[in-house]
Amino acid sequence: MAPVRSTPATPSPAPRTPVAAAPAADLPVEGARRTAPATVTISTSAQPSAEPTAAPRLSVEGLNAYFGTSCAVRDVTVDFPDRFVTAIIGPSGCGKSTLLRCLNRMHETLPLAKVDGRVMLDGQDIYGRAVNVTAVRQHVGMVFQRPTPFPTMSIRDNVAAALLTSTPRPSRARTDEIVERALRRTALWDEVKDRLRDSAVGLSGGQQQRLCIARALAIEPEVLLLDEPTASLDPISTQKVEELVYELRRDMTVVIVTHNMQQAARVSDRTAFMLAGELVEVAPTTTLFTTPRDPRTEAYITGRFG
Amino acid sequence: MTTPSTPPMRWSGAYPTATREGKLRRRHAINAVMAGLVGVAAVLATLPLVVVLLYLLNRGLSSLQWHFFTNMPKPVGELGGGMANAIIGTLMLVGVASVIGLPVGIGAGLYLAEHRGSRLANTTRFLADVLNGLPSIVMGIFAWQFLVRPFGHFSAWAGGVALAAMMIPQVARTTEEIVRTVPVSLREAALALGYARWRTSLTVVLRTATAGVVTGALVAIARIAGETAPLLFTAFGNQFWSTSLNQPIAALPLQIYTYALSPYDDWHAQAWAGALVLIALILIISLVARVATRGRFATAGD
Repeated sequence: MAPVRSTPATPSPAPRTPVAAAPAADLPVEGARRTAPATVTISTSAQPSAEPTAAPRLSVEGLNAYFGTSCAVRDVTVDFPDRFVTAIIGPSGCGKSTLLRCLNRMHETLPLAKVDGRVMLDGQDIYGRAVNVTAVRQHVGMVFQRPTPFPTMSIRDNVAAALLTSTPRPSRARTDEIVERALRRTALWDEVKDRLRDSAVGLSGGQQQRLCIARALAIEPEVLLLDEPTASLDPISTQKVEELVYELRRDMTVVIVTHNMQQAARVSDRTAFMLAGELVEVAPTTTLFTTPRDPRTEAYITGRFG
Repeated sequence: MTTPSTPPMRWSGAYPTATREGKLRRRHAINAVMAGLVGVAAVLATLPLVVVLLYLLNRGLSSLQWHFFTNMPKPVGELGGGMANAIIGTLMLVGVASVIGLPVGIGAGLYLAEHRGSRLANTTRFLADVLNGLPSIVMGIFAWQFLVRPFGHFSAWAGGVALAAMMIPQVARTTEEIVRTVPVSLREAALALGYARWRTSLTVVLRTATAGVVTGALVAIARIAGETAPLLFTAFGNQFWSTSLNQPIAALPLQIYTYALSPYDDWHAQAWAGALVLIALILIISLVARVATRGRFATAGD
């Protein structure tokens, strides 16, 4: 058992009681919150932790996303509360990945892509004029559907690669510390500690994906975006990643896009359902899956289409 | 192999067994003939190299003694002449060309790959292709016009720049092709870590493509190392020892050219030896760089 990581009480996460209105009220480790990095344009105004109704970490207002002239996300307004896992579900092509990619300005890296609307991170619009894109992405980390370890780098260097952009650059010893902590958080340390200098490509798919999560965690983002992180993994690896997501909610805001409704039910506190670019409904996960308000949501979750 | 006792397969289809066997035999025969033809073509493709190498070894090896590498050219009839100056000259010319040509070529290739749709990229790509097909003698004349005439004398600089100009389009195009094979997902992963575009290009994309880029660079170096025409009016050649970049400098291809045109048998022998050294040099450059880039991790386009 890894010494640092505290495992969840139940090994397989089950849907918990919905926490609807007062987000940050009953979360376990308020004290363990790390201090927000002070350097960057998007900085948190580190509010005291025990606030009953914390402002949402990330909130989307009237967001439209386009590819050329076709509109992939239509007028979406949604909040992602602090230290909650929000799942986005919906049929293929409904715009859930695009919405996710708008949250750290990755959408605009694609050809012909365009965004309008606002995405507020701690009260500041990440699409604002003076905002530095790279700073946004350091605060809002992202993990993709397929594992993307850098093939030329060792396991250690893959995790350390995230620190390349931090100023001042941490020392070697400090880097090793950060790498170890990130790998422990993703429960990968015991599996790779004897081969940190080996190529990351030699790891299994599940290990590679956890390595990518470790890499994203190394720079301590406030928000982590997961784009179908288990779509290319086997069930065991999937379970490990899900356990990890379950753990991460204690420290950060997580948004996970998934095809798999069971997964959404297992790992998320809140679920958003999207259809044809529109946000149909967002609600506490158990509510959405038991008593959906919208007939389209009901049709989807009962398997009548999609 | 088909044993006659084997019963026909279940799905024996439309043909009676005898016809099927006949068809099968015919297909096997055609397959054998085609495989043979392709094999012959493969052998034919490598044949020139083998013949050239064997012939060079046969003609050049006898005059290839130690003094060939250490001595200067000697007048006709005097024994013990060498090409020390030409060997150094070629190394220097290739060095100058690489120092100028590789960074520009690789940088241009990276730009072409990363901004593939932009107007500048499309124009550059087209011009690079045209430049690639430009006869080397034309490049030599231009270098003479712009780098020799204004200064009033031939120089190693002019030769190096002429060779660099030949390298750049080739290196740019091969770099572009290799960099394009790097998966977009890696680029996105780097951008999502908060890397700026330039950092993504250099630390992730180019690094992933290193092996291919190096191979492309080597092919370009090997090609210009043997170029003669661009040096005729630029580096010019030199019968004396010179390592100054501002002076005319000797080069193996030029020396081979001069000696081969001469009416003297011992100069002919020297030309053969020079050709052998030139080929060996190219081979060594390739091998050294191959070994040097055979890093710990596989780096070919994923």
